[in-house]
Amino acid sequence: MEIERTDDGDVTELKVVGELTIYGAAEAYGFLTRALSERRDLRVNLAQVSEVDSSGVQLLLAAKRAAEKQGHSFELVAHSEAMLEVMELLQLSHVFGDPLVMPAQAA
Amino acid sequence: MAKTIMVVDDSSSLRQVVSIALKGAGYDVFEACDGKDALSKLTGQKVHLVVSDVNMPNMDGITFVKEMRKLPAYKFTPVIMLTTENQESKKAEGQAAGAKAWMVKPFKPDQMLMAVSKLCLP
Amino acid sequence: MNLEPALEAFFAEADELLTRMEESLLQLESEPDNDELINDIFRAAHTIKGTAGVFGFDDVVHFTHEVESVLDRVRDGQMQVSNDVIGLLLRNKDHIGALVRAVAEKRELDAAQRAEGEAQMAALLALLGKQPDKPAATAVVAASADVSRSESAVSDSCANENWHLSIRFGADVLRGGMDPLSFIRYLCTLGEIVHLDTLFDALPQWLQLDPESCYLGFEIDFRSEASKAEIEGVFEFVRDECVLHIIPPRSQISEYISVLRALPEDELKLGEMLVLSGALTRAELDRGLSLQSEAASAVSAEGDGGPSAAPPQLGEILIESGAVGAGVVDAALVKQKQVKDTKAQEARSLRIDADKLDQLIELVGELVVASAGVQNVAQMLAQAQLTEASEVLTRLVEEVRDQALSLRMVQIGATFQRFQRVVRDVSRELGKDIELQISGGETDLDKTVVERIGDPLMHLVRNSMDHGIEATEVRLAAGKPARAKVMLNAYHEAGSIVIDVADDGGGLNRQKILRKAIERGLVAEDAQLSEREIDRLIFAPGFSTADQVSNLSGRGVGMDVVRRDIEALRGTVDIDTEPGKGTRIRIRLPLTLAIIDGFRVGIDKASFVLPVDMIVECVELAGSIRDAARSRGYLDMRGEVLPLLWLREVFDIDSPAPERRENVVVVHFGQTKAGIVVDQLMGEHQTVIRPLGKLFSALRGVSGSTILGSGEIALILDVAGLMKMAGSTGMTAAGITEMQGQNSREMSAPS
Repeated sequence: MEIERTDDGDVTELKVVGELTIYGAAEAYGFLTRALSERRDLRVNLAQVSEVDSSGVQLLLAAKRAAEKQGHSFELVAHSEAMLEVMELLQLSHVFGDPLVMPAQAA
Repeated sequence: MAKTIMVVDDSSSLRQVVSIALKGAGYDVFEACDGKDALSKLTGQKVHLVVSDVNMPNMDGITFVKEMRKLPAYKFTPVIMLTTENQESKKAEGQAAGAKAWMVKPFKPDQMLMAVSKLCLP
Repeated sequence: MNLEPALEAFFAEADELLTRMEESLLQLESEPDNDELINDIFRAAHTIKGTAGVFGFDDVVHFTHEVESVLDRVRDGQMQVSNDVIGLLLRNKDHIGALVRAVAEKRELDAAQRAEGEAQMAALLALLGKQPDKPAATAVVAASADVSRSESAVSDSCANENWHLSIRFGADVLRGGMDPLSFIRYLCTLGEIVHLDTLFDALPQWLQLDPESCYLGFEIDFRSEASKAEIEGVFEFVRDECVLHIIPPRSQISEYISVLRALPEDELKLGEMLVLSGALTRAELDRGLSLQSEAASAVSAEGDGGPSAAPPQLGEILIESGAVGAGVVDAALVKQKQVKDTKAQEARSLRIDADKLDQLIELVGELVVASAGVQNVAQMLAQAQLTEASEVLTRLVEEVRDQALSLRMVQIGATFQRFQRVVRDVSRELGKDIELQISGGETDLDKTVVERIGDPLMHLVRNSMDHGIEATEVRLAAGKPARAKVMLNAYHEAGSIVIDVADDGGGLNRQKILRKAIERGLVAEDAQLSEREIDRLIFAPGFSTADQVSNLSGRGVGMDVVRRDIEALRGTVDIDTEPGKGTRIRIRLPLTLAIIDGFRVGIDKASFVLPVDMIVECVELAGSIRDAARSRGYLDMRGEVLPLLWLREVFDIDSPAPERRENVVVVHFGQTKAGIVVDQLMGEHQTVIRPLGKLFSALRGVSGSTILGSGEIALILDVAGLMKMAGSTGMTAAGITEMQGQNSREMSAPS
């Protein structure tokens, strides 16, 4: 797993590439901890997420809660297919409240 | 993409039966004949599940799991240990080593398939 | 899947392992302390057993298991390696080889090999002390940190038809490679997740978070046909590391309760009953029991432990931990109490030799006859005091008779209840969803009848399930509920007991029956049969419509056997069917086989007795009405056609009918009525039925004889038989008129 960081004005965008699972949970936690400590709005781009497990889900949930507690927004965007499958299975869309966009079908 | 499962057992016919059942269900399977052989075959590739016998020559199943857990790529790989009913003490030892799922031999291929599906669907 | 190549490998491997086992065993003789050798031998046996099991070679597994157990003891140092043990193990090795070869060559062991195997098995068991019984889950139950009892707000059942699963995963599951998501995905293969709430309130503050610990919980509404044990099985690998409550749907609760009620009347422990019913899984029971013993030891540890400090009841623990709802536990407790009560009742009752009871009833019969004799004499002498005394005597004798007969009366309920299990098991076997409804279980009938009605009922119930109830798809297509019903009902009617076996299945297929009957030569090809007559064909000897001979019915032992069984009890069987709606078989049996209230009628000097219960009324037959009835064969009874049967003609009594008038006794049987024409009516009379001898068994219209108070003998009329005769004479008459029209056309056709 890798996380690419870009700043977009007031928003920090974190792009997760690879699997968001227990194997990379500690690393992802470290990355998110740093990002949260900057006290900016966060946007997590999930377009390149190849696999998600329970640890990934709870990490995103905890980060959202932590960011909002600080008064910052926490947004999930560009859900990959793997991410959408988990969101649907755990009926999480209303929990995160982000619009889900089905990935464009490759023509 | 098919899920990959490693089957570790010193009985080649048991490996074959399990392989046939799992391949039939759509998994990719590769085999190892004991713990040592299994470790040598774990070279960083993604393995979704390991099915391993406990009692094997060269390196037994529990030692194998302990060693496997030291490799970052397999630190959290789910393991189904195959055991016989008179190995309760082994079970406690194995769970401490990180082998949570246990299955009692003998089993029918269908039962194996069901156990595997609980941890990862094909 | 094709296991053939793996099979070849197994046989080769077994050979190799056995060879190695032999070598090691021989070496062990000189080096009894070589652990490596013992390990080798153990592993060989272990591998053969494990692999044989996968192929389903149970004989190999069974035998090798005991060998392995002995080796296990040797390995643990619990058993010395003597030459005798090595000798036995060598023979064992040979026998395992024989077993494997037999499997490879797809043949059975020969007698000598079998004997050798049994001898070795006995020796192994002797070595192990006895039949090694596995200790019942020695409360290892990994002290799962907190089986949170705070969450006991678990209701009895879900308000709807869904299961409800409440799961909190333990912190360590992810570290062990167990991902809750994978279990939920697998759960989806057993049914449909209707609703799921992901609970994350256990997540700590960000900085306290351990990203490799699991904090998730789920509340799931789940629609599935799976059993509770199957659903629990989804989580088997994390069972010790999660808190799991499975709340069954409401329909499931009633299922558990009905199964509980149908359990055999054995004294079972509460937990066992709940597991048998499926309401509780074995794992939940073990957990509950260990909680109970923990609580009990806590109580005794507290010291004095007076009567108030009793350990908690298992039922309470199970309810509190949410394993099972209060309703189901209550039903189980009720059942348990019932069984105890029955046992208690049994203690209050006496066991009496049935023969002694029969002798008593026979004597009471004689007493009845004697008292009738006294009454006769009293009437003749017309002496007030004697008449009064004889009336008292008659009344007491009647009471004695009723009491004596009631000794033989039992409720049919127990017989009916047996079918709960049958229906449950057979419906599973057939893959049909069938429920048994029982009513009238408190109806009494003679013990001999109850004993002999079981088989015909079993046949009818199975027949209903097998042929009557359609496949579920067919039912749904016809707009019927998927769950089919088979009903057993009993009640008293007109001195008979009526037992209905009904179903809401597809009804009889008349075309098919007729076709089959013609095929079997039971009816002529051009026969014109009414629907009722067609329906009754299923009772014809050797009739069976099953396309395929199934496991249950349709084995050629057809409904004719049922009919014969019932007729042997002086009963009748009738069928009522409506295509698409269902079928009802109605059995009518005499209440008792010994004594009835009779009504005496006379033809010339002969007396006959009719059961009073079957008589509706008596009317006079005289004048022009008599002449009209004579010529038409029936009587116009207030606008209703009443077929008549002249008893004089039935029994060929060679005397002229009385000049002025005759009498009609109107009898009913089931739905039909008929009139029996006799000379005189002679009043009510207690009748002790005596069976006719074998010589008269073919006699129709008579069911027995009785001795009158005067010592004369009277025949007891078999109303059902007579009505059949009345019906058939009427039928032939009607049939003849119908046939005439046809015959003119078909005269030339060869028959």
